[in-house]
Amino acid sequence: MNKQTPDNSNHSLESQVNEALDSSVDNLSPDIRRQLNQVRIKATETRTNTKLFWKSASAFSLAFALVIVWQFQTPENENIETPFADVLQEDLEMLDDLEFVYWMSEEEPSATL
Amino acid sequence: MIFAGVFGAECELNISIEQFLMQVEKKAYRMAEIATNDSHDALDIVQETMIKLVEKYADKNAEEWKPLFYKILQSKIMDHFRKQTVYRKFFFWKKQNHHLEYSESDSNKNVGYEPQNHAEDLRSPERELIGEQKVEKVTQALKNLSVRQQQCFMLRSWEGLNVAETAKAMNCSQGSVKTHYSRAKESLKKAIDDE
Repeated sequence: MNKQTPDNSNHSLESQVNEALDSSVDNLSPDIRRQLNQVRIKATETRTNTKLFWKSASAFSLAFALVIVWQFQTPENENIETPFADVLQEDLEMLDDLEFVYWMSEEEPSATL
Repeated sequence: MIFAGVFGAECELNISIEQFLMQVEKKAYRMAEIATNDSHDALDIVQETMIKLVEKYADKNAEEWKPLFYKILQSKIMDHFRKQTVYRKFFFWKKQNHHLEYSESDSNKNVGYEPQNHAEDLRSPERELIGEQKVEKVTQALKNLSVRQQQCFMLRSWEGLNVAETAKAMNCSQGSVKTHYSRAKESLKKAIDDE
């Protein structure tokens, strides 16, 4: 006797059901297929738009940060002596000369060789 | 160049998830349609599932998408029935099209079920095929199951998920999956063999 084992009967049942379901999917109406297509496109477009926005925002923020950092960098300045020091030195020398001149002018009448 | 690389990688990711959705959309629709007995509701459920998967889990590895997708799908189907339960309480005088109560304890309870031509969304010429009767019979038998049993059977047998993956998708224990599956097989065998 060819006794059908539970595994065989279950396999047969599952195969029947799977085949029927596959057939029902393969024979979906064009309207349903079109609507499924639209649903899928809408779902993936949502993701693309969101990611594109955040990518653009991140790129812009990075560029802005780089500009800010570059702006705050200053070149090294050479030490420049203030001209006032030179003027001051020159004035001191001039004052010494003036002092000598005044002294000479005061002493001149009494100056003897 | 940096931007092009980043955007190029993003485009490649989108194509992959789109291809995945193309693979599963028809089966998901059929599962939802068998559960809800309404093609519009089924399309809404599939749309919500796709949007949630893409928004929340597109960055996951591709091998995680399938169990995640079906987990979300099952969740949306259950949400649909919860809304129907609330709707029925407030608008109890209105006729209901949805045939199955959402209940873990129910096995073969049909509430307000009205048999419909399950092949109505098939192509017109195909309706002449003999196989349509088979499809009708199997679909009818599936719809006579409780939601949990029919979804469990389809996930395990038709979609090929293992027990652990099915349990994760249905948010139940592996023992429950085995019980649902076993009862579903019994009922289906009886229904298909009796006709």
